[in-house]
Amino acid sequence: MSGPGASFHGVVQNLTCGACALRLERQLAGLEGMRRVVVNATTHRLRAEYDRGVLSEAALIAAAARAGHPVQSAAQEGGPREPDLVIPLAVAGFGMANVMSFSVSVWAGIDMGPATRQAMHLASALLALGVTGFAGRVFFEPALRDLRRGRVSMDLPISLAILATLAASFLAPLGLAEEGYFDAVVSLIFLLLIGRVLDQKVRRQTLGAARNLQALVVGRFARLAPDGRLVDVSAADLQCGDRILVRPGQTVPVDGRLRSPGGRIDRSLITGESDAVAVAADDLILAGSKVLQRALEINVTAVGEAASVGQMAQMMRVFEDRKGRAQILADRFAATYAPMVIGGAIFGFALWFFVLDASLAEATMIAVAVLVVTCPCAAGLATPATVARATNQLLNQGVLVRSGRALEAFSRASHIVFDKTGTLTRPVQTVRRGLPTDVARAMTGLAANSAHPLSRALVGETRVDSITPAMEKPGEGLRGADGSALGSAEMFGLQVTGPVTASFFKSKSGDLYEVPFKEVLSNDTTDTVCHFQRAGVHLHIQSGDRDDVVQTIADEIGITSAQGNVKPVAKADFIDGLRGSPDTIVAMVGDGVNDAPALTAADVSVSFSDGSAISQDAADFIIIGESLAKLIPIFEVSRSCRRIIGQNLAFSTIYNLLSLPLALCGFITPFAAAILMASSSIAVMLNAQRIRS
Amino acid sequence: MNALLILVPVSILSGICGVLIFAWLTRDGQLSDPEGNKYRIFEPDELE
Repeated sequence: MSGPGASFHGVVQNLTCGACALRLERQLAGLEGMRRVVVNATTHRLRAEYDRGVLSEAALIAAAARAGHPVQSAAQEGGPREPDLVIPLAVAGFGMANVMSFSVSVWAGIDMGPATRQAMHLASALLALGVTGFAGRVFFEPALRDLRRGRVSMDLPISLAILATLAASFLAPLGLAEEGYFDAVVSLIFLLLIGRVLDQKVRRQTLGAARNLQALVVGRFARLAPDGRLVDVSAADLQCGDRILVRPGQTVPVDGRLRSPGGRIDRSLITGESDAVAVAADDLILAGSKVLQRALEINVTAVGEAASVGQMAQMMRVFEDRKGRAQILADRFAATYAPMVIGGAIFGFALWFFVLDASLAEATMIAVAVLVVTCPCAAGLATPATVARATNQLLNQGVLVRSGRALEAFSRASHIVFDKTGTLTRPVQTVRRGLPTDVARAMTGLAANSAHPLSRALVGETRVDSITPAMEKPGEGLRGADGSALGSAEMFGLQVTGPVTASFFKSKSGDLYEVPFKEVLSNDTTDTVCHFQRAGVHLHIQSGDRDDVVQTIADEIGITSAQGNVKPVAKADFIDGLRGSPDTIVAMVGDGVNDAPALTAADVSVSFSDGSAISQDAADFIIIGESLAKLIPIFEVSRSCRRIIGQNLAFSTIYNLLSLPLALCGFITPFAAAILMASSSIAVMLNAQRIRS
Repeated sequence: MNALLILVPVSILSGICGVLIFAWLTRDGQLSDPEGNKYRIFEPDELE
């Protein structure tokens, strides 16, 4: 234990079981200079403290990779964390057990004098006050906060029920009533908290898994290694002095100086102004700027906390946006329903106190029973709990869900439109040997600008000596600033026949070269297509590639509706054309820049983490990696999600309709109401757990 | 009934101690990895 220490936080991949986590932990603990290492098998997070003089972060990451568990450094999970609801639950459970023991002795009529009886009431009152003061805050605080903002949430009727029961109970220790209801107060809090704890657990799991995936996906950048090769690295691994290539649609993860002659960026994330800004060589580019039109080569000048602000803001916005929409729905529901619940309780109280001449305590208990039993907690949980579970299941499969609405839309999909290259097929470059070395070099320098599958196949593992500044025209190709060009036959006004994909490269001297590709079907394409055809979904291919190439692929996998030579906007028009009747829901699957309009036009869309950043921005689902087969879990999970939301809503509606008249008639005591309400919430939560992929 | 005057406060106090210990364990993060902890009881060579 000597020398300066350092700490490392990261996300661990390939952790399939707790034993793997332990094995990794023990292997890393054996490294020289390691002080303390913990691998959390539940959250897939790694925390390590080490001697900076003996061990380095790079050595640590390398050791983990050798053990078969690549580690991605990630920000420590922190920030304002909502308090753990388990502790209030424990307090409420403790209070409930003790108050119950007093109540049971009083009810059972054990031979006791009035003094003992009074003492028991007093002890119950003290416990109930403590539990309400500590655990009840979970409901009081949000209720008060909303009231101050002039809103009504479901926490208000719950708070009223707790406080009214507590107030009515004090009649007993004061000698004004025969019995107290302290047991009802504490069990109400305890049972309500069970639902809240389950809900919090699911949300935490989902958020944690989403953050882990984001850490792995957000910011894969092309770094120019000193030997000229393009290396795929994560934003977190960038260092000052690195040269990186940021492609159109990507957000710059660091601060840096522009090396390319010029370009355009969108600074809306930093400044809020959405107009594109022109930048020139040697300009400072701030983290959070989005690159437009052409790829920019940037010299990194600042990394880490300061520079990553913009990136973080963008990431969190996606989440807040999603939470925002669900929250708005829940608020709207509560705003209309909560006043009805309170109205029902007042009606119940008035009916019994003024009309039926019940005592104050009895009438209060009727009102409390109505407040509790009609609280639409189950209905409020029905949709969010199910969507959270479905999102969580898909995250575990490696699919990011960008909106809850998308699950609903995909479950009803009647048509799926596929892009071809990069989605159904992978291009493999076949002939490069024919090209003179300097031509091949100029071509990879141009291809490095684009994330198109053909460009990526071209660059592959080869060296990139210098990158030619270029503009990408979606659906056609790249035009370099020096007059060279790389793209489809159409871009050069050529006619090509035969079922082979070919691109063309025009060098700056004007010579034209053919660059042939072989396209191989991705392993899982045929299976995926079969699955959807069996499910009765209509499948289409819309590709910018030549029609005969597209038809060959379509025949091979058995899709009859296939069209080639489709311009980006025409893809979107095709999707609009499909939407004849309201029953037609069109899903679009694609990864290219040229798919972006179609992804936006479709009712629901899927992109890939390896695809272009623009297509990811437009998509509702992002599949991590390139596996098309993950469409199957997306489809199955979204279908079972919709089915279960339907069941949950039906169940909670029936429950509320039945329980209200019973409570008004005085058949339900506050205690029974608490049990009924809690069990309906738990039933809904448990039903949501049935979603599996 | 005099026994109750001692036993009831004692039981409640010991219960409060239990709740406090649980709260401390939760905040300390000792209960944050149920998946890993079930394997932590094994020796390295028993993990297979």
